[in-house]
Amino acid sequence: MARAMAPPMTQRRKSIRRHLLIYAAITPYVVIAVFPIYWMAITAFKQDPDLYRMEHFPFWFNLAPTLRNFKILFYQTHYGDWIWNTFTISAWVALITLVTAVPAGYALARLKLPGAENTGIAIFLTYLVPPIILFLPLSRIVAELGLQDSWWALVVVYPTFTIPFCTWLLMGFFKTVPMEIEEAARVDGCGQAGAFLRVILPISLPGVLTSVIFAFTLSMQDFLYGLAFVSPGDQKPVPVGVPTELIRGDIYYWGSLMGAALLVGLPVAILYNFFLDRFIQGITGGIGK
Amino acid sequence: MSDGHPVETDPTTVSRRGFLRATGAGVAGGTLAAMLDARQAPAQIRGTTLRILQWSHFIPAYDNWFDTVFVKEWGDKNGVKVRVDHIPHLELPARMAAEFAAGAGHDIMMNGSSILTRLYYKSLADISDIYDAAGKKHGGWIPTAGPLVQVEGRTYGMPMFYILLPMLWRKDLFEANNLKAPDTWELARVAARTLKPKGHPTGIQFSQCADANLNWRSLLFSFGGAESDVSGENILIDSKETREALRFAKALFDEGMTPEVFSWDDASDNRYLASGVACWIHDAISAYRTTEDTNPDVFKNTHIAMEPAGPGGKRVSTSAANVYMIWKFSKNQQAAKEFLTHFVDAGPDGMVQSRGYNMPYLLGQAKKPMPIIGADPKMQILQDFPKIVAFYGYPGPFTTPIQEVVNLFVLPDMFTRVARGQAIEDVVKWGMGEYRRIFAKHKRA
Repeated sequence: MARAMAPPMTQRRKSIRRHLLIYAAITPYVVIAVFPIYWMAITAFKQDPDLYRMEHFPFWFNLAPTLRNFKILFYQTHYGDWIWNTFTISAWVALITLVTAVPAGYALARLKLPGAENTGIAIFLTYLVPPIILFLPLSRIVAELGLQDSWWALVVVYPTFTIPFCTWLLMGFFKTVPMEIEEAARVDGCGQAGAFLRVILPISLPGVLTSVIFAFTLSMQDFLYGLAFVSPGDQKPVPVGVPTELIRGDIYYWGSLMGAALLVGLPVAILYNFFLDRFIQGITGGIGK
Repeated sequence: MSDGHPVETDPTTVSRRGFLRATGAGVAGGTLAAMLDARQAPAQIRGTTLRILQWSHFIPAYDNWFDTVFVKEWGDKNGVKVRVDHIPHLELPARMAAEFAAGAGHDIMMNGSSILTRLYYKSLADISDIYDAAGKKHGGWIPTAGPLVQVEGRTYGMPMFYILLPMLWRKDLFEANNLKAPDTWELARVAARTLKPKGHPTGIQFSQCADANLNWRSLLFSFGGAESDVSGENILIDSKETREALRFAKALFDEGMTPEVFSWDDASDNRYLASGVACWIHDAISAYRTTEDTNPDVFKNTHIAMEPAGPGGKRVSTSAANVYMIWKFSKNQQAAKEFLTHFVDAGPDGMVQSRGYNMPYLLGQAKKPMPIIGADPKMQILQDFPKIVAFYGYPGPFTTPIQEVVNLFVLPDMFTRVARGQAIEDVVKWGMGEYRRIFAKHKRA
């Protein structure tokens, strides 16, 4: 009986050991990844004197936590406006990118256009031109359009880098869709557009979703264009507004800075998590496998 | 001249002579203060809009006062709608480049620390008239103000205020160790050498940041060194004094600092003081103010000293200049000039609202006792700085090549290389190479 029990115990021990090793291996990576967020979170709730005193243990609260940093954020800056601007700009940019990059990616990948490959490469190369070079000519365009100092300027400008990137991404994605599926749809009576809309697009959803996420997050990350084209306090996006009003010369409002980053970063991280599988599937072009 | 009594006039017909007599009487009867108070901008600026771009001030209350009180009152009085936008001072050049390329944007631009007069003067409005008038009215400008804004005999900017970087030192630590106040760089070095083993080193940025550009220049110039001659054409960095300053900085680092200074930014020395670690730092009074809020015990023992003297007794304080300019493309130049005139007149108000940061370029406004700093025993010493203030390029002007030298952090890099152990001769050779390359490039352009 005892001999009969022995194998499962060994199995369990092996399993525990295996899991312990796995967790031990990934723990350093998790600590490295999570520590900045932890640091951001406790700093956001710390009093200023708690941040500066050397005798204080830095990884926890030595003085009572405070909401003062968030009060500064919401009552002494345009933080609410910045969040609204950021999400509105990003949503518009994602929409414009989608409307443009999906047909462009499909056309370049599937329609056997002459020079499609080189055109695709050329489009992607425009993504590699750094904003520090582009912002000067773009400022002329923004001024001509009368959009200077309005966040609409960013809705016009951001697609200059989101469209090339997403077109390239979707090109690769559409190429992985087996030709036979599209041909079958056409045999069943779909035209070119019908096959694209009813068959190709639904099975390319992970790729499209990835493009949306990229367009959204690339728009949320920009600093230079926002700085160059939008200066009124209530028109700025978060990446421009936060350093503008919470870094004053060599004075940093650490608590409020961390609070501002936390409030924007955390929901986006959670949102990413919901779509993580599709996102990975999207960037690896994994449909039809 | 009129005796000051009211002059009777026919209410329906006013002769030219009668009008002149009446107005003359009014002018003579009023005081200068009343005139200034009643100053009205020309009627044609009524109903216009003025847009100003400036930095986010160290003191949030200053921005609040400027935006909602000072500017609003002037706008209401003159019928001008004024909008003020703020961005970090280090980002002002990028925004200026964008507006220059677009040929549109704000009417008034502030330049903070990086003064770009010589780069953009062809696109800036000539404001020699209001600059000269302000100088006459307020007892003249400090000598180093003009070169910031003047090109080819014309003035393209209004120097509004500068930020000092004095010595901030811990009196309690000095006294406990029988050390003399850091009145010279040598005394500062002795203090750092003594206090570092006791857990209180000093620190100046050996890195690429604005404070490093300012602090190492103060040391270099106080050692008798110079960056360019008064013409701004000739480089003077290859000198015995530069070598002495580099040698001193190396010793100061070895004896009194820790290697963290290689990674410091502009805010690191603020934290060093506020944490209670630093025995002294050389920084703007923002560090002093931060400590007041975050560590009152340290603040109580932190004192402000005169710029330390070099070996020859010379004191030069390199300060962060701030200048306001008007774009030539501005459609409201007249309102912009009126506003700048009003702003420069209100220098003392700015000093009060900025809690002593905004040091005036105008000699009349720099008379003792100055607002705020004149009333604070620990800050009174700052009133002696105007006579030793210098800016980038000293003793020469802040030219475009010097601007590039500053932006590329050539001088802080020279000090950093020496601190890291590179031979002084090699470093001077490298630095001269960089200066020459930059100057030659601009000469060709």
